[in-house]
Amino acid sequence: MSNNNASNNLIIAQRAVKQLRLEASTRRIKVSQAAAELRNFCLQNASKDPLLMGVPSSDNPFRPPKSCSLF
Amino acid sequence: MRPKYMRSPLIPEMATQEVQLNETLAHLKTESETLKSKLEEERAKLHDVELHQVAEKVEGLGQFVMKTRRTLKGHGNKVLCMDWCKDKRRIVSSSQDGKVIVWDAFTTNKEHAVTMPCTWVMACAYAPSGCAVACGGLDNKCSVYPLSLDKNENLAAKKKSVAMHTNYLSACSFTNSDMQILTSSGDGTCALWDVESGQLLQSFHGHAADVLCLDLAPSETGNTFVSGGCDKKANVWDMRSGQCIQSFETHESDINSVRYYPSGDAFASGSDDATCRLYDLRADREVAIYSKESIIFGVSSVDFSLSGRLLFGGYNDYTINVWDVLKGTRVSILFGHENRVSTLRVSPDGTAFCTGSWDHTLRVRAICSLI
Repeated sequence: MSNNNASNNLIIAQRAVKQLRLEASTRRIKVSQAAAELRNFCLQNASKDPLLMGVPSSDNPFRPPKSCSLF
Repeated sequence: MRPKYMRSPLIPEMATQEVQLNETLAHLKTESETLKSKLEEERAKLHDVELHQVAEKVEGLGQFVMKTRRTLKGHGNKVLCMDWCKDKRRIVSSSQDGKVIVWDAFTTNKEHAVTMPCTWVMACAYAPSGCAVACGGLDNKCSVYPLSLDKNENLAAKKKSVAMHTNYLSACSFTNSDMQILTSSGDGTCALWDVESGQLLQSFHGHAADVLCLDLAPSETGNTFVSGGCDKKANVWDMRSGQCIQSFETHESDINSVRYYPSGDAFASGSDDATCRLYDLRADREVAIYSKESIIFGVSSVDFSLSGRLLFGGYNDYTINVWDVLKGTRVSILFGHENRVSTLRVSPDGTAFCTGSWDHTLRVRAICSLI
């Protein structure tokens, strides 16, 4: 029985090493470059972002429903 | 004399085998540790700057006023999940009371209601066509309900059982079409299913505990998705091969929510450790943490505004914190719910966002004015 446990652990350990080897081979770029691209994407799309810029009430589908006034 | 089963192996070969296995195991463990250190080293080499430094010259955001525009009432218990329809007005929500409701968020009318055979419907999703919804939870399944135009038709009659897990369904999402569904489960796996046949197309193994959330990469970026789990890991998967291609482990507790940045180059996560984090996929590391000493309750769900500049986080302390993604600062805190915020999604056209809460309601919020 203890041999079964040991072989199970072995399989798990082999898988872990295989996965780590795969992850070690990933191509990476510098954070400065990655961060600059994230920033540029934000800035380029800022004007089209309704939650950032706001939209005129007439265009906003979720504008407050028109209420009736009672005199 | 001890019973036979308690004596050490009498057969010498078995004893030798055991020793050999243990030696190989030790060897693999060492290699594992070495690879992990090497990974950290490689990642650290490229860590030449912080995101907020790169964003120093970017104009700061003004004060935000976001008001609740619609309150959707009707669930009899905690709202656990919600999703927007591509038409930007319909919403599907699911609750602990076993009900799945489809709402017209403009009018707040309920268009459809389904009673599931289980309570705690933890996951729901709208099909891209708008013609069906998927849901599941403690039943360990994900079922698809075609939405009928006939209000009187019993939706439950047309129910299709698609996914079968061996533990609760935590999240589900249609892929680019109504034909395939991606699921995550308390059984530690994610899976891709064919809706028509219910066939398992691909399974994703790698999490060491319950998987709590998933998000598909924006279609332009290709066939990948990210998942987060109770093992504190966020994994990025190749949908075709089933391979885990990147893994991130910096959170200190369960990851409850993951969401791709709109460009597909990064993703955000929200965790029980009270922080949201941003991971860049090409730098292969965490690039920002969104946290404050005063925020001590877990984050249940996160989503980005259209440009990726704002990150909305729903928290267990009933609030929503809005973060400036680039600068790392909080720009707004929103109140209104009377219990935990459990789910949060920005609408497909970015004009509003909806939150669901344990207070049984959903709230749709839009920007009021910029001061």
